[in-house]
Amino acid sequence: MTTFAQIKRLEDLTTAKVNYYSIQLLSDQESDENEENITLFERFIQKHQGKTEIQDNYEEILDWLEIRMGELFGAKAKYFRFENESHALPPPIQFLEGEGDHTLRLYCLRLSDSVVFLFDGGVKTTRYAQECPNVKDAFYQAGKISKALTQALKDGDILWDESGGNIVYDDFDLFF
Amino acid sequence: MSNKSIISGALASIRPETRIFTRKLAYIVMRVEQLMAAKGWTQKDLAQAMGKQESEISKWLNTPHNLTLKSIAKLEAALGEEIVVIPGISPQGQPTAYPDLMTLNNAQLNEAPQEYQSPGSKS
Repeated sequence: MTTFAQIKRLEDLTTAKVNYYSIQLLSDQESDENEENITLFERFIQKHQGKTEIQDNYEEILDWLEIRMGELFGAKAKYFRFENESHALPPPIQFLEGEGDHTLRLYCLRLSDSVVFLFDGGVKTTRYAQECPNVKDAFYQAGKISKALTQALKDGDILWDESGGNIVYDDFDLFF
Repeated sequence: MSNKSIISGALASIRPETRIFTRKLAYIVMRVEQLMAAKGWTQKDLAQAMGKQESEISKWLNTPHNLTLKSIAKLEAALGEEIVVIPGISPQGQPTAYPDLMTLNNAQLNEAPQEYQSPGSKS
């Protein structure tokens, strides 16, 4: 099934150091998937906000987005886990504090120190995301979207601005 | 629900202690790097001054959540300058000259210095 989507800049998360974007799905078939017209990242928030069992993990990811990368250090490559065609947060274990499991995953695509796309995610319960019922859909979706975004950069549908610190694009439908 | 309220609401829900911890760690690392630069020290120089492996210093600075108060004290001793300052009590720039707690009276310990404001208080 082909899915159409649009890029949305996340104004309330974007900082002077990092421009955050997400994707709003516009399915080409009738679907109740996106009744609220929200982005994938907002869907991630709605799924996990207020769940006490993963509050620490959830807050850790937000902390990295808003403060450690957004305010302090930028979206350095070393802070992202490699997930085939896409990336994931939280950062690799050496950057994380606390003895507990850091099983919540937010799939994303880091384009540079200053541009990051945020998608959906979930609590990973198996060693490989592909095998986890909670995250495998978000994992595969992130991979497809990442390929489409990378292709859009190659095709010139998305361009780097003059400073090289942000992307520019006219409204266009991404499909994957 | 708009983009604005979902994300803003999520960020507003981050606990204050998380923000304080993250920022303080970052400022501690910045302060250490500032003091090293003032001395013209590399991580290797700092490691040598502390009798430690360079890898341990690198780990402290790149993953600062591993820093303990003890390791901060060791850094202060090696660098000869304060990294973490306690308002109203810390001696000016001399980490080894903390007053003996027994000599401080209760008024000194309990009094909040004029210029200090706790995190989250409005100015």
